[in-house]
Amino acid sequence: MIKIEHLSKKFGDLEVLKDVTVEIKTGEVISIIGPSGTGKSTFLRCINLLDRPSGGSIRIDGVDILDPKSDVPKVRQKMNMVFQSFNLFFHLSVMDNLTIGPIKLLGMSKVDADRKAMDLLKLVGLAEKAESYPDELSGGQKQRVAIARCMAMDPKIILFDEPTSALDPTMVSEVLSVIRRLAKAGMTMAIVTHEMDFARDVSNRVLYMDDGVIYEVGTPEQIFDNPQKEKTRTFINRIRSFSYHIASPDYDLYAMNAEIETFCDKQILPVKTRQNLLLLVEEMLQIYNPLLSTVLLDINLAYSEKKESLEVVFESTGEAINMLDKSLLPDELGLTLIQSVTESIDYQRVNNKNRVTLILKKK
Amino acid sequence: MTIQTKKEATALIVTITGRMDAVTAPEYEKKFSELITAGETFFIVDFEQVDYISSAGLRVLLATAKKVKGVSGKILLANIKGGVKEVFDISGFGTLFPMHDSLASALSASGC
Amino acid sequence: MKYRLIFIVAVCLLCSGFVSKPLTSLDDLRDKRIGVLLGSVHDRYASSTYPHASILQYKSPSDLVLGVKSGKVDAAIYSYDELMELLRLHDDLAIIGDALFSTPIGMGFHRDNNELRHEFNSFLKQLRSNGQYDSMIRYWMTGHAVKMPKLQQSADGKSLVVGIVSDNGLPFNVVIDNRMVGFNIELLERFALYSGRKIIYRDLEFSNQIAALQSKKIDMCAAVMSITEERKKKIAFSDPYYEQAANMFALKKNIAVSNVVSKTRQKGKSVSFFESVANSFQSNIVQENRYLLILEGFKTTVVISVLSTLFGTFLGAIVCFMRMSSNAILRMLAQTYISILRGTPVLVFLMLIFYVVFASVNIDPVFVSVIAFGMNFAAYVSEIFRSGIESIDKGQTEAGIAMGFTKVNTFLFIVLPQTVQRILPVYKGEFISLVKMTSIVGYIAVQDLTKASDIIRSRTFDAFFPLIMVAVLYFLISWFLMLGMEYAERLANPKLKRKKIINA
Repeated sequence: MIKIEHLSKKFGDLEVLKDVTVEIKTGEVISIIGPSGTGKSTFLRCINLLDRPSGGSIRIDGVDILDPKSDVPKVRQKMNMVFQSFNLFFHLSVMDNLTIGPIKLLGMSKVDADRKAMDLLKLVGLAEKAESYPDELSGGQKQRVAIARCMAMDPKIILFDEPTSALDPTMVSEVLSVIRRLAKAGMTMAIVTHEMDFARDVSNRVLYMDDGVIYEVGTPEQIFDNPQKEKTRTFINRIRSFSYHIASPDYDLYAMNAEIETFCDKQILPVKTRQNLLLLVEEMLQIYNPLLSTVLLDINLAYSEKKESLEVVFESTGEAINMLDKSLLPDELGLTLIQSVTESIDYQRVNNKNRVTLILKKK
Repeated sequence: MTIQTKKEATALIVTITGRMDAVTAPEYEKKFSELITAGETFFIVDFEQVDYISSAGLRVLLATAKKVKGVSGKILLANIKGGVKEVFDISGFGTLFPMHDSLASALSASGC
Repeated sequence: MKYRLIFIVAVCLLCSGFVSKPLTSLDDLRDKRIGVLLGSVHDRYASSTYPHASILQYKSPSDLVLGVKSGKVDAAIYSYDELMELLRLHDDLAIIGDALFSTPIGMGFHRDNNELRHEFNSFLKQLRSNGQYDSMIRYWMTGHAVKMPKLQQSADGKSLVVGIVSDNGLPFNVVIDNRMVGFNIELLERFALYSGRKIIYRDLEFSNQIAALQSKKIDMCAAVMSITEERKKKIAFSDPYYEQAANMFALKKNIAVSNVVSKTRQKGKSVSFFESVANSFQSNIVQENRYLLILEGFKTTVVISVLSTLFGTFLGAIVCFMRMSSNAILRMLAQTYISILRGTPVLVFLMLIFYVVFASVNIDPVFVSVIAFGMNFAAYVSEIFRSGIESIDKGQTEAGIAMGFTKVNTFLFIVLPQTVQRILPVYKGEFISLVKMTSIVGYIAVQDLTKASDIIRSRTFDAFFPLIMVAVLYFLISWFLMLGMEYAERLANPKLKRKKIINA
């Protein structure tokens, strides 16, 4: 349905999109992932000409929309966009937000538009908010209304520009479930998102964008479980992992704890797992304390959803030494606690570094 | 972490709120030293509001208990529950200290 | 504390000492405060004859008299004949010393308008020869008339725009019963009959009459103007039609000569506050149907206010559009317009437009007022619009465009309604400011509410009542407009409407 060839976009001297070629077929759901600032949003905004491309071509159902003679507003009516900042019309009620497009652009009668709007609101679960105003809604509700507003125009494709990035984690799921339902109903969608699980669930294809080009493309399984190219792999891993670097004995335990807790939130780990993890890290750091003034320590957390396991790696520089060696410990208290929360503890000397790998017990 | 004290007959009830970890343990140790120096000998430590304890916290408890014994005093622990209880059990500290399920039972056991 | 009290008492005594020192002769005014009519021969005379005195220049004769009566000046100079009429009405004023000087009075014309001037001179000759002139002098000057004689109404001929000073004073001209009355008026109406013209009066300040002649805003000046060499350089005069002296006058109680009269203070019964209010009401509003003047002025003020607002808002929208355009030239033009209009006092701008831009054009001053106020209003409105538009977050515009609205429609349906909602409070304030600003149109001879009070004041010399009344009227206008705008605000903001329903 949409054929994009050699798309490029420059903002002044900055080349944000270099050479993007992709085809989006009817009924497809494609997710676009990648590091921030690599042109994902710009790419999406070029498709509906919110930003004008510097080069390349975009054909929608065979029509070249970059042709100066084409009726761009008309083309846009068949596409629609959901924004990160919702962008509801503040002066209109929810109902009016949904009906203004159909009435003014599609020539629908008020009665028909109202009826359709109510149906859509029921679909997204917000029928009771029909007469409310945007400033009376929560973020998740606003976004669901925004999605309903898009659907009211009967679009052929909906573009989602980081739809959940501005939402409280508690409201992310309600919006994602609406998008999931749309996907199931067969709506063609292009979604720029950071929600990896969601992207994996809902897409037919995943585009990994980096540096202004489509770096790798494939099915969710291919991209998430088996990324071929290096940059993709690094990216996928980074999302799943957490690193902390300690260079002195005066590290801030609470600052690190806060980052660990954020990581746990993102992976939606149960409270018990989180508590055990914090205990584990603190006990390990206590054991390493004598070394901290002379060595550098890297802590790495990696969570595998598939295996449902949380791996904690402590890597320290300096001469070969295993701090967990009982003969080196003043008492066994710390070690006992560590052992109680881990499934396995492994020591290896790798790349001139001491690596201790611990795997947290499941539940 | 906050430490509050309240006199109840001859016992001093010490209520701890928050975490007992490597960062907060020294505070606990210092507070108890002050109380012992002030002449208190009978302590009931209330763990109701404690949500986390690590080896650092346990070690300080042990050191404090030794000091209390040194002045022929007594130390009872009350309301240890949840994750904190697990840590006590795993580390074996559960058998080291007399532990009570409630303040009331701790008070009655002390013969007040 | 005690010392402060003593100090205050001492100052009061000193001041009263200064004031109560009576004037015995003209010489005493050497170092005092003297009032004159701005731009008159008295003005020039006072500055040169009393170099050490403070000369206060008043814009209208009634303000001059008020200045004397309220003690703002120690004495003032005015024309003999008018003073005589004044003294008959106000027994608290008196002349000091003899006549200061005397000058001939003539009608003023544009230097190049020889035809009209010759015509008037012929008319004057005829008037003198057939005895009409003498009977007019007897009627007005000697006879102290206050009513216009019955004259044949001139047919609708060519118009003759004549500049007058409406509160000059009898015997020459004054407003009684809402119409012009006096020697000059009779003279002018006879001339109108003679020359087959229809007279249109323009009530301008004395100091603006010459400029008005030069810019052809008026064809003739009948402001009881002395013929002087200096003035002859700028305008042409008819043959003199009167010779007039100038005298110094002051409050009787300040003049040593009329000691006897001044000793008796408030003669008659003391009036209670309410009685004096009732009297004021009677003389300022009821007498001579003066309330009609007020009504006329009220209508004019409302008309100018409303039209200026409409024009200004419309023009402001255009300027705002230019200001926000991507074209650098349009932007610059708009920015220049805004800074000039906001940086110039409205009065100055109004007079510029009237006397300079529309010079030599016979144009209705009300129309000029609407243009001037509208242009000024537009400068403020455009900035208000712009701040309103910029305060709407761009995301909503993007959403509208993404949905398929054209840029124009996105603006109309999404940005504009919210902008209007946001700017209404500030706009309200500017609008009411404008209404009050219109009080200066008297400068270009428009008879609005403020001018009406000036005219009444010139008759009753009562400062308090007309001013308070007009202030109240302006307040009422503002108040009703405020109510109207608040109603509009409620309509524009549907949420307020809804809250009303919930609370009802």
